[in-house]
Amino acid sequence: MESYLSILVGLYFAGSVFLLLSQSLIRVLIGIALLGNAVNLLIFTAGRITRGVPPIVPDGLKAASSSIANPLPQALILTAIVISFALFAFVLVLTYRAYEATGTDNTSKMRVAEPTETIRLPEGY
Amino acid sequence: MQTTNTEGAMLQTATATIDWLIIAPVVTPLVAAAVLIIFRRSVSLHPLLTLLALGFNIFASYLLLMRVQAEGPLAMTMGNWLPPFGISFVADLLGAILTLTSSVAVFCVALYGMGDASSRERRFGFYPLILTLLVGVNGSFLTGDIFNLYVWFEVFVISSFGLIVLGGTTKQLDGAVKYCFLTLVATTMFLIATGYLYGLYGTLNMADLSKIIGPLPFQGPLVVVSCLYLLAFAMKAAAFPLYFWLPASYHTPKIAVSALFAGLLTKVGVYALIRTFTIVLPPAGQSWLMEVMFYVGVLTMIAGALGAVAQTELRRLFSFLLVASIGFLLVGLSLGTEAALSATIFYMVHSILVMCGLFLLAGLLFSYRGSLDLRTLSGVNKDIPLLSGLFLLLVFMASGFPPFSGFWPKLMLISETMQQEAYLGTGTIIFSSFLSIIALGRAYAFACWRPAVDAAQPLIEGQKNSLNGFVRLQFLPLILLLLVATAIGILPGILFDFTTGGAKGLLDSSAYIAAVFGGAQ
Amino acid sequence: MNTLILRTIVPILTSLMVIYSIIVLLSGHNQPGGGFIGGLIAASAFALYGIACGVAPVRRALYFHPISISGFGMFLAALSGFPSLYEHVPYLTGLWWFPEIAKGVEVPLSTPLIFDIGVWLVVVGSLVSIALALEEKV
Repeated sequence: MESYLSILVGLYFAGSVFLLLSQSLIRVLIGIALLGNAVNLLIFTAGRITRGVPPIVPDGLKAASSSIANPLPQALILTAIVISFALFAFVLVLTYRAYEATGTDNTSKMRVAEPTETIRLPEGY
Repeated sequence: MQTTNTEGAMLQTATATIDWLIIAPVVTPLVAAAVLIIFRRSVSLHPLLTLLALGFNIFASYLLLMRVQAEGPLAMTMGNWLPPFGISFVADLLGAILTLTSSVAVFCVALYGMGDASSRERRFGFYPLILTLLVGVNGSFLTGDIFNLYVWFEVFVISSFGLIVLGGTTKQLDGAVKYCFLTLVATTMFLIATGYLYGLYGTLNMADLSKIIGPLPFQGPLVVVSCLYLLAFAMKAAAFPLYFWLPASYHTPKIAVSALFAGLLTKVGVYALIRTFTIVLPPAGQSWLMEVMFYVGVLTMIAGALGAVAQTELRRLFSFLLVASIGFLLVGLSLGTEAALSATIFYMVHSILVMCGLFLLAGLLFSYRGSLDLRTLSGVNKDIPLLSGLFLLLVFMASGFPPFSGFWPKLMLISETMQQEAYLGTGTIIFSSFLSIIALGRAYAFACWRPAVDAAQPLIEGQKNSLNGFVRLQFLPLILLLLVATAIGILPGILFDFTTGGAKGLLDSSAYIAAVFGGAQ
Repeated sequence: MNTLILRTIVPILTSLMVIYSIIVLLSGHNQPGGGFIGGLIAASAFALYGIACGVAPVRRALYFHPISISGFGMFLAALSGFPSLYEHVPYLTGLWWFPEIAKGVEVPLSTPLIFDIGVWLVVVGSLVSIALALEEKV
């Protein structure tokens, strides 16, 4: 099971890197979303997979009676999902506003902050 | 009142009230930020409360530093769970020094913001955001858990996202797009590495990792994880060849925000590098990876200094100088000896104060002259002599002239590179400092000594008067920063005691580990 | 979206969802549930109310600005660690009270509960403010 998931993680990463290298911001955005999912799946796989036993201690016991799924990777993933959701929402709105303001979603044409014309300093005064 | 019956899983030692100092630098700004968000409409309250909280923060960080100096690293494990399971906060000398310095820098920026941030910007959260930024930065400096470090990274990253678009001009949005996407990729890289680390060793507590990884050879998956960490943090620290986002974005936001970013954010990246490659992954710190980091540092210094010489916009020039200073820090870390690490920590403190000061100076120049372009910025010496004097002082500090704070760590690192026979490092430090002097000296000559050129737009008289009250107040934070930096330069011995202790603590992690697991043994 | 059926059913649905979210919030700690999930349910309830009846009634119903609500949540969560100070245990250690409200009926109260309520408020406040801002634009 782990090896199949590892291959899937690899495919996710390949897809997201391909999209991240694009010039269009929309594709980069989708790439970011895909990257987040790839990482979550990676942590999930790296934390070892245990089938069907939720990490809940039954009533009246202080510890689980049988072996349970490792809850820590899930806690890490939950944190990572919440964070990446917040950041993604922000970047989405930012991209939209930047598109409105600059009139393009092509990153090579977004040169407002870094003008392309060569500026020379006066050589003396 | 009673605690639940879980003896096996919890620490039994009592926590002294004084140990709460460890979390004070994080909790104080957090509570203050929460209060400001509740009363988001009472904007006149914001600066006062922020300064009060930050003042307390400086005091608490100072006490923490003194205590750590006297007693060695201190630890507190959240929720009283046993250390590898509970999240530990550990204050060692490195963390405590940086916490104090960043609190001072944020205090000065908040003071500057009193005259700079409009009430609209305050309502949109200028003050709460700089406070949460400080929460994230201080949390990063003090946490003892690597996933928690990731969370604190995200805390200050999301605050910085909010700050960089504050105002919302087209230029800002353009810069913010580059900053945000690159930061997102860098933090994701950090998360990937952390996922692998957990998969490999089953723990994320730094002290625990140090115990497990310390005796291991540097091979196999550990190499992958170390490379990923190097890549992620180098991206955040703006090292060659991953620094292009910095000069593309740091000159776009409000100047107070630029100052905050320049002072703190890249330094957290360097801090994370220092922490991971000394305490967390000790074998990686003595491997060929350090050679890679050495060359990265050398190239960063050259690229930053050359970029600075080529710039005509003052804030972009300062951004490139910031990149060059990161190169210096990387070279120091890559040598890995006690003297080199001590110089690195010293230079970090210097760089936080001086970079913050340079950008605040740019803000003052802008409020008087309305331009930061060296083609038109001129005549400052005649009109505002005080500002010109401060600029000159900053030029001396940033380029590392003898009685000032930049000189000592440079001297130390140059002698250390010569002892380690890393002559390339020696040459680059001198060459890059030389280029910085040219860039800064030229900027100073054009802006201050040159008589006002025709194209310059001197402020109209009425505008000048209406600004005056604020502008005079805005000198205060800059003077405060410069006083601290000058004091460090004239009396370097005091800071050296701390940085040498910090470097010792990094090279021998046993005290760090003992502090974390102390209650459990 | 703004049909008669939806407008009629949504007030009832919203109140049910908010009640359910509070049940989920209180059952947290030892059972599945907690502030985050509860907050999500409550936030979707308010978002639904906004879709059916417009944004203004939601803002009126909430009374406080959503951002202020989440600020208060943050405040509460940060403060929930401070009772530990008096017990000489580290920050955020769970402390429990079992006051008897009637003969033999104990109510377990704890600092994790205060923390969870804080999380609930943060999630409700921030998500509702995002949802309402988006609904205002549409």
